[in-house]
Parts: sequence; C-alpha cells; structure tokens
Amino acid sequence: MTASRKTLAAGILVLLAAVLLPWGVKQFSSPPPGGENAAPSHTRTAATTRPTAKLLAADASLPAPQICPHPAGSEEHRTWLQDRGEALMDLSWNDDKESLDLILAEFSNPDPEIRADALQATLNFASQDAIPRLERVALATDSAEERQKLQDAAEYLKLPSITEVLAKRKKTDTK
Amino acid sequence: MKMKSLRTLLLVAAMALPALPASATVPAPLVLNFTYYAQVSENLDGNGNVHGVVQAARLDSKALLKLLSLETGIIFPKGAKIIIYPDGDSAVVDKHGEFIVDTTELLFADFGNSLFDGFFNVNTDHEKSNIFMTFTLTLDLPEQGLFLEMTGLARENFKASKPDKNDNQKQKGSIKVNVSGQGALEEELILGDGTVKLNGKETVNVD
Repeated sequence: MTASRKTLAAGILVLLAAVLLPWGVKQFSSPPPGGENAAPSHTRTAATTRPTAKLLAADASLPAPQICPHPAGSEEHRTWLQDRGEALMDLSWNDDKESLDLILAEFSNPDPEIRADALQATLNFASQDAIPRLERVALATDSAEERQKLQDAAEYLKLPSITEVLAKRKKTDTK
Repeated sequence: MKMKSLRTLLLVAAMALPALPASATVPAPLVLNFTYYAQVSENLDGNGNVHGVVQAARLDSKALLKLLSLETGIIFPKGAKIIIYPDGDSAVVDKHGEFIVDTTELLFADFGNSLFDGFFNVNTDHEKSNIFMTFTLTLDLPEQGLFLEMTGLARENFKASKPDKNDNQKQKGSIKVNVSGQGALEEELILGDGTVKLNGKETVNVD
C-alpha cells in the first residue's frame, strides 16, 4: 500500500515535471523586456521571430542584420523600412562580396519586409554565390510562402546568364 | 453605326474629364528578372521520334548592363544602373545618378493606354493613385545578336505630396509588371517571361 502511494506520488511528480519544464524553459529563454537592441537577431513578436538562432550560427561569417530601432507599426518604423529597402537595392548594383554579404545577412532580420527586400536585392545582385544561403534559409523558414519564394530565387540564379550563354557560344565558334 | 456611337461617347467622356496625370511618372532603375527559353536541338531518330531540347537562361539587370557595355564599348563603373525615364527613354548612370550614356536606341520602354484609379487634385497636383497601363520593353542589341520584346500590364502605385511653400513636390512611383515576350538570340527564336520593376522617387518644382 505504502509502495503504491509512493509510486503514485512519483508518477504525479513526473507528470508535473513534464508539463512545467517546457513552460519554464520557454519563459527563461524569452528576451528580457526592452532587451531587443541587445539581442536583436531573434526577438520581437511571435509573428516575426522566424529566422532562428540556428540560422545565424550557421552563417556566423555574415555581418549582423540591421535592426529597426523604432517600434513596429510607427511612422518612423515605416520610414526606416523604406530607407533600408532602398539601401539594399543600392547595394544590389555592386559586384563585391561585401555588398552581397550585407544583403544576405538581412535574411535573419525579424522584419518580414526587410527579408522581402533582401530577396529582391539578392535577385538583382544576380550572383550564384547567394544560392547556398537562399537554400539554407528556405529550409529553416516556417512560412510556406516565403520558402517557395526563396527556393524559386535559388532556382532562378542556378540558370546560366545570357552573357554566359553568349560567351560559351563564341568560344565554341572559335574552336 | 455602333462604332461611331462608341467613338462619340469616348470623345464626350474625354472632354468631360479634367486633365489626368501622366503615367509612368518618375525616373527609376530598371530591375529585370526574365527567364528565356531557346531550342537547343531537335532531332529525328531512326524510329521516327523527334527529340527536342529547350534550354532556359536568365536575363537580369546585371546581365543587361554587361550587354549594354559590350554594345556601347563603355566599361561601366561599380554600382552603375539602368534608368528608365517617364517618356520611355533609357540611360546608364553611375552609383551617384550621374549620366554615363544614353541607351534609348538599344533599350526602350513604351507606356501605352492607361486607366487611373485614385485621386488627383488639378489645382495642387496632389495625387495618390494606382495607374494601370500597357507596357512594352524593347531590347535591340544588334552587336550581341539580341532582339527581345516584352509586354505586360503595368500597375503603378503613385504618390505626389502637396507642394511645399517653394512649390517643391515629392513624387514616388512604384511599377511592377509581369511580362512575357519573344525575340531572337543570334537569329534563333527565344520565348520567355519574368518581371519588371521600376521604383523611383524625386522632388520636382511644380511652379
């Protein structure tokens, strides 16, 4: 009888631990209030936390994404998003690795608008060096729509460029 | 008879409306992502089967810049971009927006018939609108053996602020077009589809 009680009590404890432990971990792993700027890469609201710390760790060679200092939904936030989007497009006309890295880093940005701008800038940069990053981010994303866009972009960049096609033809013609 | 009635109706409608804003309103960098397809081979085997192979390739803004560079013989500096002007002309500018070369003979955009949705104040020029218009982008690069015509329905989101005390007005236009097209690369047929985006802004004096 005593043994049964002990077994029952142990069972209840195990059940309680199973229920409470994940909750506790979730609570303690949340960033502290006002700590967004200190740990910018994976904070904010649940809807915008998608690219994970796992991704950032995998691309530690990239610079950190630029995080908007203004509260989401504010006029300043909208203006900041527009300016940042234009800056990314300006970078996309360059051909150097540093510019590409700055664009690719923004796939870890918590703002979905910036991630969309980064995708447009990556397409315009038109370098096949971007393909591995696009594929890694596509695998990590929770959004089916965003995953599809990233995969489409990677497939597009895998195609040979018209300049490569013409150069190859000229090379063949001269042989 | 019906045609005449329609023409009269359109004429009356046009006269009744105040002057509408022009379409394609601000100069903007050309962002092109186009996939084209070309027949690589088509062979008949001994069993009477025809085997065809089509190859896809991409034509984007950077590739177009390289082709324009080859065509004009000018090496463009880092950060150079292609600009499309409201009248359809094109040019290559440097990263500061300084003019390098007029490329209108090689690359031309045509903004055709348009529909206007939104508001436009004829007194202040204040505007917030969506403009639907036919769009054609023509590439003619004879040295590279490329001719291509892309068409689609463009939709421009356009905003123009009320002019300030110095009559300066901020204008911002954003155009996206899903295009399809055809042409020839080294005398072989190419077909394709893609997107054209033109996002631009400027401050103009409307005095």
